[in-house]
Amino acid sequence: MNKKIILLVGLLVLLVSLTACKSSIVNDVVNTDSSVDANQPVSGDQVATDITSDLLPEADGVEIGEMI
Amino acid sequence: MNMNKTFVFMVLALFLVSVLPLALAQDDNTTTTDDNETVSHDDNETQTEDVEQEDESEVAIMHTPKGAQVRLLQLQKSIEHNILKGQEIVAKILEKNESANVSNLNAILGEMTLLVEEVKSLDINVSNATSNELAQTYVQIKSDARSLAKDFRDEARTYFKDDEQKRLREELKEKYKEQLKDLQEKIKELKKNYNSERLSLYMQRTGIKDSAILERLQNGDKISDIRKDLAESFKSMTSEERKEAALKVKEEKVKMSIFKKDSVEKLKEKFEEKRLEREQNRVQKLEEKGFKMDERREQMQQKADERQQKMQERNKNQKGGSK
Repeated sequence: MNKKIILLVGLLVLLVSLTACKSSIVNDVVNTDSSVDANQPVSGDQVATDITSDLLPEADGVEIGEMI
Repeated sequence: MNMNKTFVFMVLALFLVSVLPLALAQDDNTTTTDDNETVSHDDNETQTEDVEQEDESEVAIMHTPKGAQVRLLQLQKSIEHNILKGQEIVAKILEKNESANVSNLNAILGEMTLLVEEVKSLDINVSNATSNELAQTYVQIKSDARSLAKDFRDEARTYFKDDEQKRLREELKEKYKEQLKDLQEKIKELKKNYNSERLSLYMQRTGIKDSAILERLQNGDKISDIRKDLAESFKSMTSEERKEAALKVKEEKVKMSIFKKDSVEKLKEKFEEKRLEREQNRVQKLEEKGFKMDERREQMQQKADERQQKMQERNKNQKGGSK
């Protein structure tokens, strides 16, 4: 009886852990720099976006807070 | 006996599967920035609340003289705008109550004026080695200006009801546009120069030869339209050329990130010490000019004590948490 309970708890923990593992691996992949991957094609859109993200838009300004 | 063995085996298995996800999981104290650069926020590191995330992003462009010029002029404009607003608020307070004690508010405005003078005195044409220092000074001045605005706001609000504050805020928002027009025009021009310089550099590095794109930017085309033009140019490149271009862009972005990180991290180390030194210098200068600084000095001391206490509490909590 005890054996079965231990086995059951073990399997449950294994299942939970594997799920956690999977999500952490997925997160790692999502967070990995994929912009310049040797095996992935680079889109012109992406490079253009990267370049223009360095340019200052009209609305760019410096805020130091209200006086009242 | 057999039962005991199974139990030990299961415990070990449980331990293993519990630890595995922790080992594989990415450190939660890291974030991925736009540049895909992973920045660590070490819990044991004393974070300086006064260097905000936006300050860090803003200094990135200061690695070039043109970028530094833009930021410093924008900061000057913001402080000057606040001085004008502050003067009007003081006048309104005195309108309401002639005998109101506004010496502390005037002292704060005096300090803001000193910050403007400091910004104006900064040398933009510095070498790369000292452009880090320039960026650090920018963050310090901005942090001081933000803190002064808060001190002023907290005190000024005690003279006005909520609806009056809101009305006054709205009224002052647009009031000084004309007075700040020249500065605004200058900033606009500098931004255009900075953008042209950056785009030109990226075009050279990535091999885009369509000079009409640069001309369109200089003529005031929107950045979103420029992005479309660039994307079109990249479409005519081979896959290999595009990869090469993406790497060149990445290289440039990494340079900016290193500059940003270098500037801010070094500043964080001695931020509080430098702030106290700067505050004392301003108080001394204003006293020499005849400002009444007693109240302000007390206020500064009180705030410094509060900050010290907060920092100690934070360090204590962090030590407790890391045990």
